[in-house]
Amino acid sequence: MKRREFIRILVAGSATLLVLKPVKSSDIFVYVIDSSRCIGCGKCVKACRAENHVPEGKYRTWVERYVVYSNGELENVYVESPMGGEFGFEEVDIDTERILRAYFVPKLCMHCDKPPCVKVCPVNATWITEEGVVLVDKSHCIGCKYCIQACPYGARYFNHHEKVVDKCTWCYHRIMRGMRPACVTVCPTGARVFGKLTDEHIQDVLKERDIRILKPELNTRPKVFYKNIGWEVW
Amino acid sequence: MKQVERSLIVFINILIIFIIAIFGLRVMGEEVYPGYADRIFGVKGIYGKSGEEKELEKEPIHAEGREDCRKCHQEIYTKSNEGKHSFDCQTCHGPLGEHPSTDMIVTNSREFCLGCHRSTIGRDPAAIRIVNNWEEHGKGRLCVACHDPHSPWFD
Amino acid sequence: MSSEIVEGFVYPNHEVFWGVLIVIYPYLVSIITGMVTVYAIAEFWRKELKDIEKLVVISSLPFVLSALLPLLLDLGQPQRAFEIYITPNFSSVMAVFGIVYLTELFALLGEMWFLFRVDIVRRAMNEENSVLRLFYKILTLGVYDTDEEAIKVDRKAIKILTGIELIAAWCLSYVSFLFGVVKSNPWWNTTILPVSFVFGGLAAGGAMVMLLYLLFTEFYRVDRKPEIISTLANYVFYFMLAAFALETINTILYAYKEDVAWAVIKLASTQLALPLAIQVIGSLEALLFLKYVCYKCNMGKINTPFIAIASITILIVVFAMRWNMVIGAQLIDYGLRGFVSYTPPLWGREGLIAALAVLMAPLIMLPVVAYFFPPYEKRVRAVL
Repeated sequence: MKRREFIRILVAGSATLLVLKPVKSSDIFVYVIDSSRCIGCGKCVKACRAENHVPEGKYRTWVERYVVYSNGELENVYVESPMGGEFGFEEVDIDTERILRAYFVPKLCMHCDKPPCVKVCPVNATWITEEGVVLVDKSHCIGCKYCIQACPYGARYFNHHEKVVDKCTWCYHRIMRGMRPACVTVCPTGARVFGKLTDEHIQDVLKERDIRILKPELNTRPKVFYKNIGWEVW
Repeated sequence: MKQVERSLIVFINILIIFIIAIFGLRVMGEEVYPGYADRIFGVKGIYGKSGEEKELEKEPIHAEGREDCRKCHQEIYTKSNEGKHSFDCQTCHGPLGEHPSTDMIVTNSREFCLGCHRSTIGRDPAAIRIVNNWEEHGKGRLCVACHDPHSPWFD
Repeated sequence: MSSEIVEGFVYPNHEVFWGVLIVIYPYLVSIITGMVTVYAIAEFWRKELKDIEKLVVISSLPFVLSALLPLLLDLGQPQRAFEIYITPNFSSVMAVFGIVYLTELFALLGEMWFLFRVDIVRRAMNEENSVLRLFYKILTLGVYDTDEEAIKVDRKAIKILTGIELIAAWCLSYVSFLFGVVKSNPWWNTTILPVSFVFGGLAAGGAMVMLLYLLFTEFYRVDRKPEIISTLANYVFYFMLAAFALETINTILYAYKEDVAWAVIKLASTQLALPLAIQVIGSLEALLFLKYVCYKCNMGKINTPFIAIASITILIVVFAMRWNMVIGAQLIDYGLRGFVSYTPPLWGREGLIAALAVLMAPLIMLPVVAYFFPPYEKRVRAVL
């Protein structure tokens, strides 16, 4: 009997160790992007750079333009993001008559629920907080760049001045003070919506059927949701 | 068998020293490791015992939002709130910076306004008022000559 | 950095993050795997290879020691590297590397000690230089019995340690697993990659042993034995064949399946024309030469230049394979709509000069190790 008791404790102990993840509260943060409202002005990229001291040539958030056109054949997809969309978009050399659809898609860290980047960090320098935000501890990052390779969304970058990996924090210092991230604050058209999962304006959006996440096949469970984007966005 | 015992003793000693080193460094905290190693290399870390999460919360905020601007610019705040340009002040004015001591400058060029209002592939006319004939419309003049940037709408 | 967009759209943060150093790291690791496997073959199965076991052991040590170098050079904050042991994240493949690496290192050191114990004892008693004598005396750990009973115990200990070392070395080859688990990159995200990686490593390690055998026999003026070369060449031939076949199968499968990533992989391959050509032509050439060497050795003749050419070719081919795997996969963007080019810088921590220095490090360390633990008695060849 004694041995059975011991095994029971052992199993229970290892089970608790395995599920020793941060407790998920119901008020995790969620980010919704309505692509049809984005006008590609690049103010969000500028604001992010100023707020978080993002180095030149690196982007915590950026804007892509998707132009789907057809010259009689099946759809062609043209994607561009000049300077991350920071200074707006130039004209493209595509006949407007042939364009089927065109829109802007802002991108940022998806703050996945099952982040592949957190899984591969060898020294626990990146982790997911109770609020569901994925952060990097710059004073512990050894700069192996493995997490950059693991991120399917290209959201992480290597800070060549500090020699550590850096990424979007959803402006953690702002949201913990009850504000919205810098990119959401400056968006003139309200294309970027931020809030807690339980908030009413988030719930309204999430109830719609045409909501999408990017690269669902990788099972990363992103917390950034997209509205009004086509199949060609990933 | 003597040599096996001896080599095992040596190995176990190395192992114990290694494990003690690991736990010792863990107990002494991050001010010691990677703190000392970083200081030798001239790297500045944060090394708060509370961790980066708490440290990040202390980061200064560069642009708080329109409610903060209202404290001094109540008039403009009310005006823009009634108009179509009811979004945040820093969208056009940029981050606050050292504002009360330095001026916040915003360019009033045509290009600045057209950055949002020009017709571009991908820009949805439902999302923003687009000036389709921007090359002709008000040619040679600044947009702000006729449109008040804080409340630009007139038909 | 040294990467620029060549075609299509890439995410704005994309660059080739792991440069030439991370090509060398799996390369060195795979050589270690191969050498340790050759040692295990000699220990467990092929008694005719007994003659080179000391050589293999002392030459694995410099490779194991220098396998850390490229990693440390590539890290952004190398002074924090020890954190892998202090605060390890066991779900990370890279953190497990630390443990496997230490296992490998200690197993190898123990094996070396048991293998050279008789020599150490002899030199501790007979060495003329007093400093050296003290060094060997410390190394004996106070055990001086070298009778047959003791040597039997030594052989047993070596057998056990070889087993541990072999497992550790194959686990060390899990560095391919490190790439294989990156699900965001379709080039790495294949099941066949770790397997082909191990076989490439076995071939490279075997080729390295053949090359070192030529060098050491030349230096110590020991007669070369055809049966050693023949056995080695035979093993290397089959390992190389497996590696080449697996790589080819992988490519064919990818080309046939033609999923979203294939279009961009196909385009990005144009950037790798040279290493791909080396990989294919070199493999075929090496296979041909190896078979010829085997044939000659079985007739009792040793064709030294052919052996040297075959082994050097294999070493280059495996390096090209690692280059294609590490650099090639990073050329394509995770958006799968474009690719970048990569030319390593000449200077700097991640440059070609540093890479060359890292590649040479084991060969520079080797004479030092061989000075303290000579694999053969130096003999003057009988003058006719």
